[in-house]
Amino acid sequence: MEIKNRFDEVFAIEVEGWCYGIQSYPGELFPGLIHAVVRECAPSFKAAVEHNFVFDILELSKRFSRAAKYLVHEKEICFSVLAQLPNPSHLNEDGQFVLAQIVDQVEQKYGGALERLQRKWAWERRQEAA
Amino acid sequence: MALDEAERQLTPAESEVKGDQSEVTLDRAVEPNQEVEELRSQARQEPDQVQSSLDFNLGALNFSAEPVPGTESAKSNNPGVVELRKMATGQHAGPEVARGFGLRPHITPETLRIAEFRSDVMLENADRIRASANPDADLVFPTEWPKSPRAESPYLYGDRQAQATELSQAMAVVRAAARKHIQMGTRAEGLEPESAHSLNGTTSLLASEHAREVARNTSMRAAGELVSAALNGEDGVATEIAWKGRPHSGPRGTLSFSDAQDALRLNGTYLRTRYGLAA
Repeated sequence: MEIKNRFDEVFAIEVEGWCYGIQSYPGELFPGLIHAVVRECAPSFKAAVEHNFVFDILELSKRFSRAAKYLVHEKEICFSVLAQLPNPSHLNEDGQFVLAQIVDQVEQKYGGALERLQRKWAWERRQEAA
Repeated sequence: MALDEAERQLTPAESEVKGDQSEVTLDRAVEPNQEVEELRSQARQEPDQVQSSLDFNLGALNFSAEPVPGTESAKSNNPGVVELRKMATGQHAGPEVARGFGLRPHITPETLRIAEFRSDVMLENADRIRASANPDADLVFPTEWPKSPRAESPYLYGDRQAQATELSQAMAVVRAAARKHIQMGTRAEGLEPESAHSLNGTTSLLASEHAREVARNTSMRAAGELVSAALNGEDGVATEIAWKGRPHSGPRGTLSFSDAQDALRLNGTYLRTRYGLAA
């Protein structure tokens, strides 16, 4: 599946920029700050899926963790990124396929990713229905 | 005569029967009312004692194990409320203060504040604390953390506001550094799409209103025309597509038109996709 509009380059630059920003933070890093950065990246995660870009979520988590001087474990960042991924019910078939490949990376390494995501999606569906 | 005598003898008997019936009817009508009135009177005079008596009776009937939700007896017998009563003993906030907050006298605002804090920590942060202490522990999604019904409590608002402010300030620092890195980064060789990248709606290449208008309102062709104008040296346009290593001080002809057009095309597509702008 071809990546649309060279989004992989855009994504790499964004990640690099954020890593630089985290590394340059003059104060003491804390987990909430890293999670806030991840939340802020949510539109880019969604755009990556929509542009057929299967980004390396494990590498991304490792880079954020390294930028944070390993104060936040890469697994925690990894699951935090997962939590920001779009709901598959809002994606077309290609998007769902891309999303599955991203989730599968975490499932293979840590396990439990799909189960947790399904619970999250079910929770979101309930919120939308309410 | 025999008949008259018989009627005379029968008449009192009937009246006695009627009289007995009326007495019975009267007794049945009066006695319950008196009992209810006594209870009502007692409740008006000594409400605490009546409540205690009810609590005691319900407890004796072993109702406390499964109290009826929402009832006064349930509140009284609830283990949490019993604990609150113990905690509230000797607290500085007195019954009058509690009544002022519309609370039962023995549950003070201070007690509730403590309970809120404890429940917030237990419900919302337990998993996170556990995960931080042990990275291999199961993690939960932030979106699944239960929200406290007392999240808007004025007693905790100050602390949360301080935390939110601290996080917001830290994010502003990180965001500014990231943006600067993207604008002035080391990857700026030629027209790479880093200039097209958007951080929170802010870009380097599209920072100016002019170029932003291009992305917002015009087609790819218009974006190409902008680059073309820049390459042709039109004043005030080259600066719009300036980036590190290629400021307007350099020879304008060094830009490859196709590369520049590519970058702008990427810009426009990305922004339109991200913000739902018109193509």
